[in-house]
Amino acid sequence: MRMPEAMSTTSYRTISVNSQPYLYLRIQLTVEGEDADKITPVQFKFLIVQALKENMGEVGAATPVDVLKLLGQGIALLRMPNRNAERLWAALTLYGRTPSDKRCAFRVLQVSPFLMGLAFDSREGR
Amino acid sequence: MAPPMYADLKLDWKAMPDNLLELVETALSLGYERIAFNNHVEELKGGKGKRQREKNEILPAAEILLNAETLKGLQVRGHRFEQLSRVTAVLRDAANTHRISSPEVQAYDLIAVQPTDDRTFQLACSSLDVDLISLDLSEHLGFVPKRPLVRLAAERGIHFELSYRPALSEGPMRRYVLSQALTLVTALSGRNIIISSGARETLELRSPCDVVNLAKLFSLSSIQAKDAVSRNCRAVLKHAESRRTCKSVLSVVKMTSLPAWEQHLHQQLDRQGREGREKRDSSPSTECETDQETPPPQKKLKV
Repeated sequence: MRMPEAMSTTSYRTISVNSQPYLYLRIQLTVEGEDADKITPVQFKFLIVQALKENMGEVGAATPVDVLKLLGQGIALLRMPNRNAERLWAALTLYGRTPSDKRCAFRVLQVSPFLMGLAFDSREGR
Repeated sequence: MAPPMYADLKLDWKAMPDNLLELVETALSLGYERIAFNNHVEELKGGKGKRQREKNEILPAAEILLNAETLKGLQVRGHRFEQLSRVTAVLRDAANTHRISSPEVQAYDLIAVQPTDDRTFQLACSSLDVDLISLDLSEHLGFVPKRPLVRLAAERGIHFELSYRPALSEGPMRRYVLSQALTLVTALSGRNIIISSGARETLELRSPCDVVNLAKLFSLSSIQAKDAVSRNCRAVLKHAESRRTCKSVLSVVKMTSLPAWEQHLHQQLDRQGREGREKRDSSPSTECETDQETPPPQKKLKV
């Protein structure tokens, strides 16, 4: 945000709508018959890679998706490159069965191009 | 502008009656605020005379909905929540479509049909009194959705529904569903589409923003994708409401059944009536001709 000198008294601001390099997701993983709190970050990442592999093949699974933090209850903060986020996200959505043949679901609770955007949910407590 | 109200207009009611409450709770926690319970009718049968015996029963709409107690329990937790009843009839025979206008079917909040061939699809688009045309992506459609017909349906305010449940299953089925959805969206040019879950179990539900992203994968634009779970669903409800009114413009409401916030109309008309009567009694007869009479309280016409 840059404010020219002459207009500093009036309300004037510029907002950039450039595309951001990353997309941040707050995502919840539910696995049938398993305690969500016991999922380890390694398992979480493994399932994500599995989901990408199933829908997009080896090349798709090579995209860098980072699990930034596991918050408990199977909720995690994810970071993925914005360029092909749409396809990556859809791959997660469509994933329905783990390699050990249990049913599972990835559900995205919140999305933002900024990590700070996930700090507060405007839909909560409506 | 208020954030949109997300809706899931197809939760399967029949498959898992025990899990239904759990299903609703999951849907609410994911952010859905409008939910329709679907009664899937495999075939419409029956007619007059000899065929009367073949007639299959359709469950009354009130039995599908959650009872008032459960509803209150859900609303206490701070959710805004609206439940709707919906019937989906598979049209196998064009001859039996007259049952859609029967009172037992019309009692449902939403009426959807699932055409199986060219004839029934044409009927559904052009003349049937329905709100939704449901398309089962896991099977072969049996008809080609042609532009003129689709446009006709859109002009009548009918929406097309795609449900994402079959896309969650593995293997070639997913590819089939996606490719069919792509062709359909091209045929419908991205308008008048709603996307619903069709879920039977909690693990088949996805959050609204997941669905929006999935809709983008079906080659809808980002605005159309968002509309598919919020705005178009509202349009479907309004269409259903207009089905019950006269020419979609007038509806008659009894004064006694007015909601509390419109009770003042009741009092106002009452007062006017009383004043009119008093004036007539007290004023001399010569003035009576010039005095405009207040109309007696009537049934209120709601526009």
